[in-house]
Amino acid sequence: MGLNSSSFGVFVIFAAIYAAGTLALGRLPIGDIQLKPGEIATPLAAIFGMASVVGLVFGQFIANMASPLGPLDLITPAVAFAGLLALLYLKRYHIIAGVGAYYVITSTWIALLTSAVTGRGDAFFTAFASQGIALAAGTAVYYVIKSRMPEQKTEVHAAPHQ
Amino acid sequence: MEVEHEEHEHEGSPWPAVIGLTVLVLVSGLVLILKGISFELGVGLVFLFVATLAVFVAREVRSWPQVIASFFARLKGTAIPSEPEKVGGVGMPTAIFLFTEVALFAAGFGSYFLIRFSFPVWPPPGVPHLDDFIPRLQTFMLLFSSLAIEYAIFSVRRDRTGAVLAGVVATAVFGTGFLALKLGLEWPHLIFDLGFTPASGIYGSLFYILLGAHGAHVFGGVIALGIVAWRAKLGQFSSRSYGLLEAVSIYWHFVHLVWLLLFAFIYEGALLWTAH
Repeated sequence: MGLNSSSFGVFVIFAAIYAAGTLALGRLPIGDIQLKPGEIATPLAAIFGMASVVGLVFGQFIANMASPLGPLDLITPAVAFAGLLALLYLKRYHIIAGVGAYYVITSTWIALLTSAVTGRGDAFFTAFASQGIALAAGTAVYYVIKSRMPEQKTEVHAAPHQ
Repeated sequence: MEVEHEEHEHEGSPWPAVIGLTVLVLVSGLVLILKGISFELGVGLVFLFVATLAVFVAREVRSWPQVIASFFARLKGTAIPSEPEKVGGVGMPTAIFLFTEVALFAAGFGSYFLIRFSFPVWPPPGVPHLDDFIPRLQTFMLLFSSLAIEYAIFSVRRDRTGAVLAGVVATAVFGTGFLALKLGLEWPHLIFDLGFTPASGIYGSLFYILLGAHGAHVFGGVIALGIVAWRAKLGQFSSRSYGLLEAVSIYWHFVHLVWLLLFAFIYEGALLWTAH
């Protein structure tokens, strides 16, 4: 990932999508569930590769600095990074496998964190539901973009089983 | 050709590095003087900077008309450069330039946090509530501007010259809109309606210094985008030669990245829990 416009641009754009999606749009309430719009961009990392992964993690770090869950939420980007690496690895088998791994890893962490900080009894339900809705929407966006993208070389190798 | 030849003589000149190092000497001298550590040594270091600058100007001033003529020759389309515009990353000069920008804003953010952590409550009492509606719009304007400049890069790699111009112009329009919102709406409201000025205390000073420095960078970026757009209109970029476009693109992304941090810290209360 050298210093060229594409890799740096993808990094900044994904950081901005996550941070702006979370801070500027705010969390979208669906009943008791607080949806983070920035999470919708996550499955797109399967298309845009490692630069987008680093951008998403950085954007999440910026967004979480203003998190109501406090300093512990600054650990979340590291957990998300692990989830995104799993997504990049597993998407070569199927995108759903990659997104599923990210979903399980991040939802479990967010549920534990929310439960520990707020003591809410429904922390696991809300965490899994909000991540599930955001990632389902993101996966739909992934398929739309993938179907419309021109053939080009990216940092990510082509998936053998898609 | 003579113009290009003159310009190439300046490639590899040690003077930018020399001036950069002597600016460090200047700052060291000023710190020694202002902190009262050693007045004589401080004056000596300041004099060293002035002397180096004088030597530089005396040596280089004769070639400046040619350098300026080369710049305008490119804008007129009478000199199409080849060497400095090679494709394949932006190279060391842009990387060094970006490093100085990182250092500048790191110093700004460092000052912000140093002062912030010395206050028990942040923002200090008396500071008006900063509405974040306009900054939210500005955040999305910069996001769209980054997408637009990436569209220009995507297009230039495919030799779509019309799309390159459209992408660059769209980026400049979003950048101008960003400045218009700040200077035409937000700041007049803060200064004239709320009385929140740079003289309103340390918070006001930090607010206007940080956002003013960023705004100046956006303005510089818009000027650079204007030059890139003009040269794109002249058809001076192709899939084999678009170094200037790529350098400006990276600069613009950097300005966008700094805004994300400013938006989080200034308007969204990032890390406010550190004060409690």
